[in-house]
Amino acid sequence: MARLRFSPAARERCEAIVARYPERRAALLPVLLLARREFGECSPEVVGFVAELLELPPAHVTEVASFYPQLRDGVRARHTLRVCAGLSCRLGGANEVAQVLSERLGIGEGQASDDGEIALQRCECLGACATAPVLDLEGDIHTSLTRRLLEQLLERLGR
Amino acid sequence: MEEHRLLLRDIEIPDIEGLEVYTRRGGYGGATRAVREMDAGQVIDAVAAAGLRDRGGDWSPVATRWRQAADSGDAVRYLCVNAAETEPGLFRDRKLAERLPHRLLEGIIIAARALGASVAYICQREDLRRAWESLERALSEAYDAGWLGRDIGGSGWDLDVFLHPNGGAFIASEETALLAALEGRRAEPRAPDGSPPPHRLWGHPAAVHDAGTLGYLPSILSDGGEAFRQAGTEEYPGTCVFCVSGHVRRPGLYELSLGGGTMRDLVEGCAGGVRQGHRLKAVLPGGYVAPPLGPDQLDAPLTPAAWAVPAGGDFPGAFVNGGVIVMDDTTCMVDAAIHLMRYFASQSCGKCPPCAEGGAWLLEILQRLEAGEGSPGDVDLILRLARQVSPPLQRGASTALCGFGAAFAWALQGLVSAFRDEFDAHIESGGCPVEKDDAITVPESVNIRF
Repeated sequence: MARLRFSPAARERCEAIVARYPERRAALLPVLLLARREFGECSPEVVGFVAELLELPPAHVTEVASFYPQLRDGVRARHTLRVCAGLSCRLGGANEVAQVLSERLGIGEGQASDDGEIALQRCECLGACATAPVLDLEGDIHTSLTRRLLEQLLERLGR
Repeated sequence: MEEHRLLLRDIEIPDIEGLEVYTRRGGYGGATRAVREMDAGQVIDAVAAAGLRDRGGDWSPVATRWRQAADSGDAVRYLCVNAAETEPGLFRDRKLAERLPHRLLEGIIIAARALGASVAYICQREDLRRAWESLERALSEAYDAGWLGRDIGGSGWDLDVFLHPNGGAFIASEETALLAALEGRRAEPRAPDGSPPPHRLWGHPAAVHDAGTLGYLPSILSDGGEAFRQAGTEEYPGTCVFCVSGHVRRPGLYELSLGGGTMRDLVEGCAGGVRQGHRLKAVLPGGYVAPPLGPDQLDAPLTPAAWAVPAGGDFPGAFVNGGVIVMDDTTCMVDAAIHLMRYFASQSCGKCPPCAEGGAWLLEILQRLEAGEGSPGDVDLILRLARQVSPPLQRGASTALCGFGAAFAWALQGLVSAFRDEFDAHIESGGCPVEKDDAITVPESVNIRF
């Protein structure tokens, strides 16, 4: 495997992150998140790359990388629909949302479609409980979902 | 009951997230006073006189923490802001970050001035993109306008504010876990080592506050402590922003004067009560972390002073953070408990066995009950296990380091005690006896819409 490298833009971003803290180690989580965006995963190679970059023991980087949920490589797809499974969303109909998506996409929770386009996940609270049920699509939170809104969303995703 | 908006004043003004509108509405007036006209001690005195307490859950006086840091004699101090309210049922700080980012930044400037800090970190969920980007834009505007950076307002004082991602770890909102996360470690709460407060970050004094608390500072400094004290009580001045969700007709954010009404005023008045054709079954008054209230307990006053926790009041409950989840008669309490425990079991940092193992075990028992596979004795087992983590409403009695374990132990014991018959019925009838409503239900309206 070729040696990993940050793009010039990512390298610049990384230097700016490191400069925010009095110790290099403090930059670890933001740099790991940056690396994950850059390389699309947080594999052992990526962990080794970040350890070298920040001059930290690889064991420490592995320990931290394995802790944070956002660094875990779950099911992969081009788009991930994260359905909020908090209690308020459950009271607002999250079960129906999950059921509709699951039926229309033909996949269960934690699975990706065969073409690798869409994955379905359950997540904890997205901080929009008054507008339950909600789901997240790559950082955009869709609120007060109805069957009609779900259909529109699926249509936009080509389903 | 009328709303009394201090923190959320202006939240519905168009473009208030930008510096121009925020400034035109009087924004940065408090920071101007704090930076140009006052020294750190005077800011601390002003906030102490206003009686501002932390809204993150423990309701301790804010100025005390700053004094502890000032008394440490260490010239390097840090301000840490938890803007990622990672607890289900809360959505106040997210709204604040999205709509009033400059109010938060102004609060940070004032707090950092009082604390004598030159660096502040805002811990935020990077996956809540709108909130994250709104803070990024506001930071950039504040630097350009000279509110952040070198020699602010010609005072000779410097302040840098940085965003720090929390990596999706809900536990990183616990104070010591947040500090560990900032230092580049796993977000695990620290064991008290016997050293006196304040907390330490890289060995230096650090004050941790939640965003919703600091958002009050601009008005306290610009309008004075007396204006703040016009709401609330002598002991608990000001307001609380309640986050109401669940089976109500008008969920949303409601900012109310502390002590000005009861839970009934909030749930049945402001939020319009439960959906038509249904009866109220229970209210979780503190997000996931407090025992539930039954329909006969809604006259509990909305001030921490009246509750057993935090203030030792008569009402046997915990007034925590303003997260209020309302459930009607279609809710199965075992199912509700499963939702709570799925969160706790998946988000425990894993450090203390009572929380890490206990949480997972409790979830397993609850799922067994809901599936109709419970055995006689399971409900007592739930109570016994939860009690081993912490007896209800007893602060400091947890067998785990931080409050995370106690949170589910209190909530779960409360749910089981209040709805014992329903839990038992899951075993006797070999499954769930409640006619649940799984359908999507959109409420009539939302107060302060997202």
